This record gives sequence, C-alpha cells and structure tokens, in this order.
Amino acid sequence: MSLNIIGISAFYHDSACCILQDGVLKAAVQEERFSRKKNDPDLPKAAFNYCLKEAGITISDIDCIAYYEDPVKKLSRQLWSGSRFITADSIRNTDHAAVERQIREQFGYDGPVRFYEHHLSHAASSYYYSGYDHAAILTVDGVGEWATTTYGIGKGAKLELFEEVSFPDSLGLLYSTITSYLGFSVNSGEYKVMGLAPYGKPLYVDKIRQLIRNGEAGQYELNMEYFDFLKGEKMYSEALPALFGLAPRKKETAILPVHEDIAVSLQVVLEEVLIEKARYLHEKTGAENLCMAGGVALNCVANGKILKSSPFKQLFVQPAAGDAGCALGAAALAHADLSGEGMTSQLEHVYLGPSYGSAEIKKLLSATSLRYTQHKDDEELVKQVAQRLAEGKVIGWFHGRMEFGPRSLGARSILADPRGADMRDRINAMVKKREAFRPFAPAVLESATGEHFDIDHPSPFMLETCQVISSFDLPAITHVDGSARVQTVGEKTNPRFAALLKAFADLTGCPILLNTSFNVRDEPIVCNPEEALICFVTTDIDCLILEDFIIDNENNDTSILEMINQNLLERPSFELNPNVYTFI
Amino acid sequence: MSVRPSSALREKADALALLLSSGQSSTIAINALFEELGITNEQIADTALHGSVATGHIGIYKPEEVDGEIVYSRDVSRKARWTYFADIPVIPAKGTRKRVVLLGESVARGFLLDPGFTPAQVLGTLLNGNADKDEFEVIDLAETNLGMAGLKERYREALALEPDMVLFLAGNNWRDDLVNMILTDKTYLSRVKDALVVNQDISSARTILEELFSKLVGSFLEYVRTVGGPELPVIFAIPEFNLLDCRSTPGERFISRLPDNGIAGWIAARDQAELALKEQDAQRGIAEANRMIALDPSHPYGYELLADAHLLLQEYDKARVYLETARDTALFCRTNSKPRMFNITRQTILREAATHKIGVVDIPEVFSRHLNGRIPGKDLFLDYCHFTAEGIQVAMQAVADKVLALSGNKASGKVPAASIRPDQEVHAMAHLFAAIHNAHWGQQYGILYHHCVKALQYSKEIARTMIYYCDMMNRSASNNLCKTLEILVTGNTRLDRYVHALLHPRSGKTMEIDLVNAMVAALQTAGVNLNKYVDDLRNKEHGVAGQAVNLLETFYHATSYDEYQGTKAAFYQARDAQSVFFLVAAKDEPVFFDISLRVPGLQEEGKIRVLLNGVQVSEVAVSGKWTRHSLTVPADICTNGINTVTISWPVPEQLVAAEQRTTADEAILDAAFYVFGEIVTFTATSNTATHFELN
Ligand SMILES: [Fe+2]
Repeated sequence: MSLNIIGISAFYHDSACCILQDGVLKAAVQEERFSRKKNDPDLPKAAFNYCLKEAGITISDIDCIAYYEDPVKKLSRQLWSGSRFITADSIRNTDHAAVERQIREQFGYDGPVRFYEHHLSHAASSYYYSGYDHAAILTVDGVGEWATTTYGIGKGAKLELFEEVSFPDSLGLLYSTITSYLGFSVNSGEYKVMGLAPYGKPLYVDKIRQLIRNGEAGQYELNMEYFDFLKGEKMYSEALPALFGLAPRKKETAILPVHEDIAVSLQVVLEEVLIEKARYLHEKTGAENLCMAGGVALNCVANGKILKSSPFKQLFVQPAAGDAGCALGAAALAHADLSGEGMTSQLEHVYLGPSYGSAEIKKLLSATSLRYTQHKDDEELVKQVAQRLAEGKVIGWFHGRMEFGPRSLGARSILADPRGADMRDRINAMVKKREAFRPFAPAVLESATGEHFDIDHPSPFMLETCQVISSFDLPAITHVDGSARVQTVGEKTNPRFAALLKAFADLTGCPILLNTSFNVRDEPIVCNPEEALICFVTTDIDCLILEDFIIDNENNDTSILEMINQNLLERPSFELNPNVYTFI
Repeated sequence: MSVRPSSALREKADALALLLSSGQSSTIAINALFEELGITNEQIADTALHGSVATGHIGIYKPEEVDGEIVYSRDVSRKARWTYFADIPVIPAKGTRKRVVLLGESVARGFLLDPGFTPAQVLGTLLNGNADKDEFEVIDLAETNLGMAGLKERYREALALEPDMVLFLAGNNWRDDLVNMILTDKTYLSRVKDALVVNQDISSARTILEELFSKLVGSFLEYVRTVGGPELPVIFAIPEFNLLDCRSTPGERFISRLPDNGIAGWIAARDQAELALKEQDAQRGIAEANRMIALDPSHPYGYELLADAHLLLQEYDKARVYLETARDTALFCRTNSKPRMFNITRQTILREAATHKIGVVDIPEVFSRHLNGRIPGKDLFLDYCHFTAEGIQVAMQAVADKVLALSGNKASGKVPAASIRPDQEVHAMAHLFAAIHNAHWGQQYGILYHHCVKALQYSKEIARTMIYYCDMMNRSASNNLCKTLEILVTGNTRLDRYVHALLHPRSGKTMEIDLVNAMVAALQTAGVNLNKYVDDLRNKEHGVAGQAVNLLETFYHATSYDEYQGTKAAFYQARDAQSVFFLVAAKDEPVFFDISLRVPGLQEEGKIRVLLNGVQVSEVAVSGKWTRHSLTVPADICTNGINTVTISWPVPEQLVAAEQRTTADEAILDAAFYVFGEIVTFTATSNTATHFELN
C-alpha cells in the first residue's frame, strides 16, 4: 500500500491541494483554476477531487491530510492586532474548529489531519523539493500566524526553523504597503512594483530606510508610524505620503517618474535587507545551498542578487513560493513525519494539473462551428506552429498537464516571436490589457541559453532575472535595464515545447519565444479546452493549439461566439480587498 | 498610524485563542481576556459606509435637461442593466396627462412576452381606451429580479417623475429580503434555529418565519406611505402563483431529518398516497397525504398530494388551500426556490394596506372570479409566476378599473382587455421559452409538452429552433460554445432578450431529457421526426460504449437548476431515499460500474440496492465508511438510449436528535435536512478496457 498524503492551503487567498504518493508529488492545483474565481480562498474541493482521481485513489486510501497553517496561532495574532473588524461577539460566534470540521464534512474525510505552521510549510515547500541534502532556509512573506520571516536549516529528512521575525514587522507587508501607496492592489500588484523599478532612480532610498530598522541577528523592525495595517482597513498611515511629499497614486491614473523612483528605492532597500539576512543565515548554518519560499521569494530580481552577494553557492526557490505552495510543504512535512524520510528528488517541473485527451477535444470541437485541423504527428504539428510564429502570429498554446503556481511555463501559454518591435504592444492590446511598462518573459531552449542570456544554469521556473546578451534584438522580452525573466526549456520535462522552440530556431535562428500566461486580465489561467476556446474567441489571438488540433482565426468567423462569450457568460468572481492584506 | 500593541499582550492573545479553540465562548476567563486585550463590541462603528452618492438616477435612467425640461434617458454607464428594464429609451418630462408609474419585478415586466406584450402596454391601452380622452400615461419602471430593498430604492427615485399614481405589481422576490433580515439579526436567527433544529418543531418555526415576514411586509407598506407623502395615490396589485401547474422541484422535496422513525413513516405514507392517487382513490389519498403532513409540515409534497386528492373530488377551495401551503414551504429554504407570493405576504397587505391608504388589487381573487372558482394554472401562467397573455389581460383589466375609479373616471367598457393581444410570434416564443424555463426549474414532462405544442401551434417556424435546441442540449460541450447556439442567436432576433435562458450554469449542464423528449414528441405532431437524430447524438456524446462516463457530472443526474442552500460537499449527497442516474447505453451490451459510497452515520452494516430500468441488478453492503464496489449489469437489461440507474438507500428506522453545534449558524439547514447516502466516485462503461476491476 502506498503512503498517500494530501496537502491543503485554504481560507486565505489562492487555495490549493496536492497529493504526495510515497514521497512523489503526483498532482497539485489551485482551486481558482477549477472554480474560475481568481485567488479563490475556499476549501479546494474540486482540486481535492482532481488529486484523488489523478492518483487513482479514493478518500479511504488517504493516510493523512496536512494543513498549511495553525489556526489557533493565527487567531492569537488576530486577537492581538486589534483589527477594527474584530469584535468580541464576532470572535465568540466564530467556530474556531472550523478548519478541521470543514475538511471532514466537505471532503467526507475521517482520518488524521495534521496542522503545520505557515512558515514551516513555506520552508518545507522549498527544502523538501530542492533535491538538496543540506541547506539553509529563508522564508519571507506578509504574515502567516505570527511569523513573517524565518531562518532554518534542513538536513536529510529533518527541517528546523531556529529564528523568526514576528508580526507586525514584515518585509512582505512593507512591500505591500508601498504597492498600495503606488496605486496597485495589495496581494496581486506587488510584481507590478517590481516591474516598475528598473525605470526609476533610487532617489528615495533614505526615505524607505526610515520605514524599516535593521536589528540584531535575523531581526528587523518596521516603524509603525508609517503603517496602518493593524486596524485592518488600509496599509499606510498619513505619515507615509507626508514622508514622500506626495499624495498616494490613485488606481488607473498616470504613472509618473516619481512612482518609478519610489519603486526602485524600495527594491534597493529590500535587496539590502535580504542580502544582509542571507549572509547572517549563512554564518549561522554554514550551508552552501539556500532554499527560499514565501511571497517575497517571487521577487526574482532580489533572488539573483542574494545568490550573487552572499556566500551561498546554489539557490532553490519553490516555484509556487506564495501560499498555494504551502500545500506542498505541509504534505512534505507529513510525509517526513509518517515515513521518517525526506523527499526522493528535486522538483523538476510543475506540470501537475489536469490534461485532456484528443478524443475529448475532438468531441468538443465538433460541437462548435470552428474549422480546425488535426496533426497526429508531433513533428508536423510543431513545424506548423513554428511557421505561424515566424509569420508574427500570436499563439494560444495548450498542451499536457497544467502548471502549478503563478507562472505559465509552456502548458497553458500564449506564445509569440520575441523579436518584433511591436509584439509587446500587440499582445497587450489583443489579450492581456495590462500595463505597458512590464515586458513579457522569454522561454529559451535550454541548450542555447548561454548564447542569449547571461546565466550559467537552468532556470526552468522563471524565477530569476539575468542580462540579455543575445545578438537578436528582443524588445518584447527585454526590460529597460537589459534584463529578462527567463525560463529555460529542457527536452526532458516538456518535449513538445522544446521541439517547438527548436523548430522555431530552425526557421529563424532564434531559439527563444515570448511566453506569457494563457488568460485574460483578472481571470485565472485557463485550465480546460473550453476555457482555452473562450479565451481564443474573445481575444485577438491568431491561432489556438489544443493538443494536436490547430484552429486558425483567419479560417473562422468567431464574431458570434465572441459576442456570446463576451457578453452573456457569467463570470464567477471573488474579489480580495485590494486595499489591505487579507488578515482574517 | 497603527499603534503596536504591547508584546506583553501576546501571551494573553495566545491564551484566549487556545480557550476559544477548545470550544468555549463565554467563560469568566474568556471575558477577562477580551477585556485585557481591549476587544469590545464597538470597534467597527466608524467603518460602516454610508449609502451611495445621490446622482438623481432612476434605475438605469439619468436626468438630462432638454429644452429647459428634465427628461430621463438611459445611462450608457449602466448598460449592463438595460435588459432588466423595459425597452424605453427616454422618459419624457411630465405633461398634462395623468402619470401612472408601474413598479415591480419580472411579473410586471411581462417576462417571456416582453417586449412584444407587457402589462404596462395593456394597462395604458385600457386606461386611455376607456377614459373619456387620452389622459393617462403609464411609465414602465418594472425591473427584473428586483427585491424589496431595490423596490424601495426605485420607488424613492421614481418620485422625481411626479407621479399622479404609483402602481406596484411586486412581492415575488421578497423571500430573499426575509432571509437577509434573519441572517443580519442574531435574535431572529437564534429563534429560527431553536425552533427548527433544537426543538425540531416545524410548525412553530413556520409561525416565527411568518411573523417576521409579516413584520417585513408591514414595514414596506409604512415606508411607501412615509416616503411618498400623505396624498400620493398608491395601488398595490398582489401577484398570484401558478398553483395548479407549478409543483415542487426536486430540490424543494429534499427530505427533512425527522426524529424517531419519522422518515420511514413519511416515505411509506408518500408511496401509499402516490399509489392511491394513481388508482384514483381520493379518500385513501387524503388519509395518506395527511399522514405525510402530520409528520413533516415543512414538506410541500404532502400538501400537493392532498390537493390532488381534493381535485379528484372537484373540491377546488380545499385544493387551493393545500396548493398554497405547498407553495409556501419554500420559506424553509431547502433550495433556491423560484419567485413566488406567499400567503403571509398577501394577508399582510390585505390587512394593513388600508391603514396606509394604499389601494389593493387582489389578483388571486381576480383570477378566481375569472375562472369561476377553479384554480389558476397553465391557462394564466407560463411558469411559476409569470402571466400568459390572458393572465396579463385579466390582471390589467382589474388594475385599470381600480386606477380609473381612484382618478374619478368611469370605465366605459369600450375597449375590453381581451381585444389587446400579442402577435402569433410573440405567443410562440413565450411558450417555447416557457417550456425551457419550466424544464430548468424541475417541472414535469406534461407541462413541458404542453408549452412545446402551444409554441408550434402559434408558429410553425419554431420547429427549426426546437431542432437546434435539441442538438445543443445533447452535446457535452457547454452551450456557449455550441454551433447550434450561434445559429439560434443569429437566426432569430426575437431570441436576444431571453438568450440567457439558453445558457446553463457553469459546469451545470444537464441533458434536459424530459424537455428534449417533449420537443421531439411535439415535433412529431408537426410532422418532423427527430427520434433517430437525437438517439444517435446522445449515444455519440454520452454513450458508455466507448468511454468511461462520470455519472456524478450534472448531465447524468440533475433534472433542474436547484441548488441546495446549506453546506456543499465535494461529493454527491442523496437527499431522498432513491437516487436516480441516467445512462446512455446500448441494448445487449453489459455495463460495468465503479462506485465508492457510504451512508453517513450508519453504525452497522447496511445494504443498498442498485436497479437498472427498475430491475434490481445488485445488492451492495455499505457502512458509515467509504467502500468501493465493482458492479456488472447483465446485457439483457440494458436498452438503447437512456437507461435509469437507481440507487436505493437504507431508510433510517430510528433517528436521534441532530447533534448540536454551539456556534455554526450556517449549519441550520444541514441539521434540518437528512442525507441518505453519499457517493464520491461513480463511473459507468461498457468498454472493458476502460473498466477498473477490484481485485
Ligand atoms: Fe505565506
């Protein structure tokens, strides 16, 4: 009998479920992909059902459900912080055993449930999937229960956290506060601030330094004069605009140079603190390898600097570094507890979601008015697609199992030729409708990486930035500072995507494609073929590849389908409060 | 700025969190800790947001000055809501004519006939045709889906139109306002919970619900008079419900968690009552139906069967009372019941309207007179509450008489309501969509067939639409991607207002077997034979011959858009003693099932029976724990096309009172309604290659 462990993160934002079978990660998916509610925080019921199905087991085969947080400790922090949204009666009337009760009732599960602390789950989501036998661990996020930053060490199957920084002192909340001040949504706009930074001059570094004071060992402190998030309504106090001498930017208004300057100043200070803390962590542990997780670890610019400026030799960042990834960590902790063993190997890919067969897709397409062609020969298919890419077409690429985590990595991707000067604007106009200042990311054939990017190791998860050194002009994927957030594609983990890159290189000499997530703004990445079709007909994507099938826009009149799916379809939504970090 | 609470308080917070999590909520220690942490009940005072900024809008209309006068035109920024309102681009400035403003929800819109034929149009024609001169204008401000809160807002806004009279035809959506009122007031909530869950006293629960509802309706009437000022003439037309031909949906028939052996007794009585009525034995039907009601006064089906027995005896008054009571069990909120007027609402209005100087047109009474005491059904209603053309004519005649009387006119009788008619196409579309709408909301084959035949009688053209519809519904692809929907949308511009009805909830498509069969049968009467086409398509899209089919998908068990209102589990929950699934199979091909199931709370071993097309094919041992079974259905029982698989669950002989949770208010419904069995996987296939064999 196998050892089956389910990992869960939920009731915060972006809930997820995964399954470990004898220490092998069989499936992982965020609930939003099924429910279609962006950042859906509900108990991941559909994801749970999917995980069981993928592993070929039923509920009674589960040995343990591991939950990514300690609800009692979290409650303690909520009680302490004095949020305006808490009253004695509201607390009294809350069912504080709700998490376990809901897991049991709604999953129909009566076996053991184990709770692991939030940052321990983050740490485990990195260390146990890193393939390292010995590593230092750094986790940094907004807040879990109490901890906001932790320092740990992993050795074999053992993982230990030895120091933590406590709420309200938090690098994540510092970043979110400035994000909010700069007019972006908390919990989702942070990466826009990161994208804005290279445009600015670090003129406000001193001011940002007034917000955070470095401390002994792993500690630091926020100057609460400038923050207001304890009350649970908004992130910053009146003192913050006064400090910068600038009113907060209103959403959707013009981004001025001063906003860029503040963004880069924040980035500089964040990197300073992280580098110093990483050095401290190295000093304490003596490890050569560093593992990172937590929302702040998605700041790929900082990650690169940490590796460069600290004595660590290797870095592993959990690709789902945010809270969804905690499901993986909690499951790994339970696995270690129950089996006494760590995980068997490094996480090589994140193709952990559902896939759809040709018969199913053919049935779907035959119900529609769409004209399509089928190409059972892989080589022929990628040749056809490469040809279209070379002609400057924008492709919706749907192949294999869906990615876990925030990035599209060639399973549910929008692809295009990165060389054209206007490609960035075109894609923004036709589908993404996002801020023009952020470049797209490149996917590059692993074997050709060194010729085009200044990076000496694979970067399969798009978690690092490096300088573009290609002889090609690649404006759509190159940031203003000459950097790019690169994904290297190996033949082993995604053979068809690698073959496509190769076919494109055969035609053009360029083994690089622009790769962005397959979704429209504010919606989750597409999961099934129907969602891909809806995205295709409601945007100006030129061509959709659904596994073996090619559907060209120019051969189809999609105007009626567009009208129906644009105007009449109900779109489920869950909106996070954009003004404050979700504490409760 | 945030003041950092003292770190010494962290220990207190830890202690309090621990105490609360251990299930305590109000001990001395807890109260003391709350105090030390400074957590009171007053912290949210200044966070409440107050109302929207006054823009002068009336619904989707915004004021504009044209030639020195204020007119109201549709605001483009509110375009998403335009289809909720009548097709009127501009409300002109008030002239010399008497202005009657019509407010209400979809009934007042003339849903399914609108825009071709609406109550406001009929009323306007009647008023002006029967007054001395063209002296009235009816402003149609009715709005689909409007509840009581929205109605108040619209009323307040509409006063800017300087109405000479306000006419309400409303009240069908007020259950939601009642639920809101209860959920936002702890004392109401705990009264309902005590009655329904703690004391398991359904009758007193109903009394409480009705008392609260009456209070809510009374407050509405008072609001109307207070806001409208002392002199504004106001008429409230009380809607009626399709008593005869709209019966409880599958979701409304979920079985209550009756104490002791109540469930077994109720089910036995139900089976007996159904049998008696089938045999036309009214007296025995009455006796058995009364047993059902005595055991569970919250369940609609006992009243419906009792009414059917009295209908057999042509005792219409009695039947009416029971059908009304059946309708009103929607107060217990088993499911997302469709709009309706509750008796308590009607009685409250009849009793209190005069106090607030509000005139009343009691449409139930008007219809009853029109039908000579018989009970209104599909003659006057297209679905649960929306009128047929005849229903609109009769209702508006009564309203017109009242309006004329109130404004001192005498009705001349020159233009009778029956002379104001929609064209044939409007009728045909109304009946087609009535068939679709009734199918979505769990109505039986007979009523669906009636509307399909009517639609074809009014327009032969509708046959094409039906053919495409049948194609679409048998596809496993979502409707919004189907070629046939594209054809329907482009082929008939009259569809556009109701095209939403052609889209199912996400991941909620069903095969609509009864409706498709009704269309096929109706088409046959028009000389179109669609049988083979439908059979072949069903087989291709849903057949178990070549693929393993997941019977837990809505296609294979849902027969309505009902949605249970309590906690939704990740698996299938049976809320009746029998669960029925649909299977598209082939004659003489065996079918293999893989099923994992349990009977929650079952202490010892039990048995479920599995039947195919009514023939028992297996008996399976079940328990309170999940077990997985592999079953084979012999080839000779399977037929071509739709087969039914029935799982027959054990019926509890003895139930102890529901376990009480101290805090979970959201669990009231879960405690009130019973779960017979749960299925977490259920697949079927005829293909041995895709079949999973247990070893
Ligand atoms: Fe986190």
